[in-house]
This record gives sequence, C-alpha cells and structure tokens, in this order.
Amino acid sequence: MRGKILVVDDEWSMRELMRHTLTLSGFDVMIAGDHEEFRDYALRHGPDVIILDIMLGEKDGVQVYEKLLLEGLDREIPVIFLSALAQDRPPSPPRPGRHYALIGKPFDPEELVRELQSLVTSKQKKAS
Amino acid sequence: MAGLFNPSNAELRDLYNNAPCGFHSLNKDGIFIAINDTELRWLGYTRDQVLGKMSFPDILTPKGKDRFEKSFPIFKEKGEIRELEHELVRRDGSTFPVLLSATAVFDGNGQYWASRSTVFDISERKQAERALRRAYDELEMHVEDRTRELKKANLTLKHLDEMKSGFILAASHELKTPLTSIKGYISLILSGRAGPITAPQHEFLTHVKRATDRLSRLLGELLSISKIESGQISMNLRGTHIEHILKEEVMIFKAEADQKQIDLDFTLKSRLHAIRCDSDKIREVLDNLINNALKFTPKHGRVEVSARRADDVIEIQVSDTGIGIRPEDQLKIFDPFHHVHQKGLEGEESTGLGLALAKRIVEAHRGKIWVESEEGKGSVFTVTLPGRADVREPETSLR
Repeated sequence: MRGKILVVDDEWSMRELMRHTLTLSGFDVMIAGDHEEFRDYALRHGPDVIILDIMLGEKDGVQVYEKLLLEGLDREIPVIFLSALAQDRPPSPPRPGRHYALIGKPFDPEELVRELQSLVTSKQKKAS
Repeated sequence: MAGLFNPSNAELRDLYNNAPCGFHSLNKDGIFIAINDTELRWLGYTRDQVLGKMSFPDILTPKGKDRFEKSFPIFKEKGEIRELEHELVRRDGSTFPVLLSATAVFDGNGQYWASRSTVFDISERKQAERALRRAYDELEMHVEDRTRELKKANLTLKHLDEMKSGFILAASHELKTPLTSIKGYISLILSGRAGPITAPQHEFLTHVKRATDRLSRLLGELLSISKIESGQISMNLRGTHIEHILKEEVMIFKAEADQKQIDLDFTLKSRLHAIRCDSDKIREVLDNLINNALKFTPKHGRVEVSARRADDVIEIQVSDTGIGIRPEDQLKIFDPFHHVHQKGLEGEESTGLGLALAKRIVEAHRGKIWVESEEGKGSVFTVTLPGRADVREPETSLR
C-alpha cells in the first residue's frame, strides 16, 4: 500500500522538490503551503506521515502542529520536522507526538525517502 | 661676630626680617606691635605705617574681618591657631592668600599679652590648585564626552550585532533552501527515479553533486563559525563518556580507511571519566581531524585515535603517518580558508574552514587544540577538554 505523505512548507521550490521526489518514490503526496492548508489536510485526510517545515512563513511550524494536536490531530502520526537551523538545535524543541525526527536543510532526499519508507512500513505493520 | 649656635642680636634680627615667611605680633587689641620685612614687602607698607597704627583687620577682606572678630577672642583665651587660611589685602587693594599660624604670649597673670604669628604666602599653591581644578574639570568634560561617544558607539555595535544575527538567520534559511532544491533534484536524477540517464550525464551530475555537497559543507561551517564568534551558538553540554564517541567515530571512518588501505585504530590509554561537552559538536571536531588524517595519509599508512586522562583534562590525539605539515603552515593551519594543501592525496577537496571551526568548538568548551608535525613523517593533532569527575547523566545514545 502506498503511504500518504503530507508535506507542509511555505517555499514553493521545497514543495515541488518533495512532490517530485516522493511521487517518484511511490508515495501519495499532499501538499500544503500554509498553516490553513496544513490544518485542512491533516484533520480531514489523515496522512501516514507529516513532513513539516519549522519556519512556516511567519508562523512557527511547531506551534501550529501543537495547536492541531489540541484540535484533535492524531498524535500517532509521525512528524518529520525540517529546519534550516537544525545544525544546532531547533529554537523550541518539538514536543513529540508518538514519533518525530528533525532533518536539517539541505538534506539528502534519499535519507528522507528511507525514513519515510521505514515509518510507513512500521505503521502498516501495526495496523495489520 | 657671634658663633653659629650663639647668634648676635643683629644676626637674629636679620633672620627675623628676611625669613621666607611673614612674622608679626598683635597686641590684645589686634594692633601690630611687630612685623618683619618680608610681610611688609608683601603688603606694600612701611614699618612706620603699620606699627602701632594698623590692626590686623585693616589688612583683611570684609569676610576676613568678620571671621577675625569671632576668632581673635577665642585665640586670646586658647593661645593657638594652626594653619588658618586668610585673604590679606595689600596697600594697592589687591589680595593674596596666606596660611596663618599663631601662638599667644601670656603675662605673669596669665593674661594675653601678644601673638607670635607666622604667615606663609600660598599664592602659588592656590594657583596650582586652581590650574589643577581647571584641568580636572576639563578632563571630566572630556570623559563625559567620550563616555557619550562610547555609549553611542556601543549602541551602534549592538545594533550591528543584531543585524548580523538577523543576517545569519536569514542567510541560513535563504541559502539552504535553494541548495536543498539543487541537491534534491540532482539526487533524484542520479537515483534513476526520474528516468534513465546516460553515462556522461551520470558522470557530470556526480561532479555537480560533489560541488553541491562541498557548498553545503562550506555554508554549514561558515554559519557555525559566525555563530560561535557572535556568541549565538548554544552549547548542549551534557555528561558524556567521550570514549564511546571516539569509538563510534573510528567505526564510521573504518570503511573509508579500509578502502584507502590505511590502518585506522582507537587506543584508550587510560580510564576516562565522564565530561561535560556538546557531543554533536565534539563529533564535528573528530570528523574533521580523522577526515584530514585519512586525506593526507598514503596507502599502507596509519591513523591512530587515542585518548587518556591527564590530570584534570581529557587528552584526545589523532595522529597519522601522512605527508605532514610545514612549520610555517602549522602556525596558520587553524586560520579560516588557510589551505595547507589544496586537495587530499586522492583529489579530495576541502573548504578550508574545518580546522578553524574545530578550534572554535574546542575553545568554546574551554579546551585547547594544537598540532605537532614533521613534513614527510606525519602529524599529531591534540585536543584537550576540561574533565570533571562529578558529572551526572552520561550520554548513552548512539548517533
């Protein structure tokens, strides 16, 4: 079964890269460009994994995520945070759902794909 | 002529009249009954004009007269005045400051009879005091001006620093985003997911990928150095068993060392206690040192990573049997962009920032890093980190 990945990034070039990379890697991809689209896709379409940019325009991606958890977003959905500052530590460490990872930009797409494959497979095993 | 210790009256009179200070005596009414030539000369009067005719208040300012009226009766009773400042008025009306000391002479009935007063002209001293005061006031004004300038400069610096921090943040985001795109698409094409590519296309894109990786590293190191230097970097100090990190780092580079036919080993020379450090940053330092050692050591050579406890520090060494470093380069090797060798023995490129960053990380830990090397024989890079035996929470997670 193809995994459903929700990509949330305010940068068009990042959204396009993710769309191409993940589609060609066999995933179903949903793309959100701001916190409102994020909310819409996350709450209505139940992704298997969320890839979320920490700097979401003027919004803090982590805070947006935490707010969605309060609104009923499934905590079990793993989140991969992307950060341009991840060489040090993120400004406010993301409080996890069940699983989160932090990948720094520029990242290796192969590494991201491997991580996603592992997460989706693990989720599917749990479901069965 | 009388002897030295038995002066004649003439000699005494001479001493009295020509002393470098003024002498005078006042009767119970404050009238001059004796005065020496020096004081007469200062005042501009003759002896005839003064003796029996003028009183001390006659040569005082109005303020001085008031003081004398209050203080003379007390003097006549107590018998002594020490270093009282007065302003005396000359015959021509001008004034000059003096320091006056006096003792009273009493008669047989214990009644005041006359004063023996000594007067010192302190005009020069007062002038010097005024000049000093002026200089002090001027200096204070200069200091105030400079302080204002410094405060302004400080505010400007603070503002520039904030701008620089903002720039680092913006640069970090703005540069890394397009770089991610470039790396991402190259990776996608090279992986074959975007469709088959020809062998030359693969080769060319591999070159592009290598250059992009180098650009990535350069950007990362530049930003790290900027952050360390501007004090922005946050150190995640935790209790760490450093030997675990060293073993892991050696393991990470083992494959590369084997491929290059270089012996890479780790030696623990003495038992190490846990220390407080930012393990991710220390790994960066080790990555750099081991990577360099492998880059500049030829086939069948040896790279050894070792560690020991030396008093209160942990000493880590990365030694190699490589090509070594010239003495003149050893002094500059930790400077940013100082390339000792442009490329490694197998053409590997470097950013020229690795050792500069390593030095800053080590120094941020209050440690030291240095190199000893001999051209053609090899190098030893030593890092010392302060060690504490009372550290809790040793890190056990693996990278």
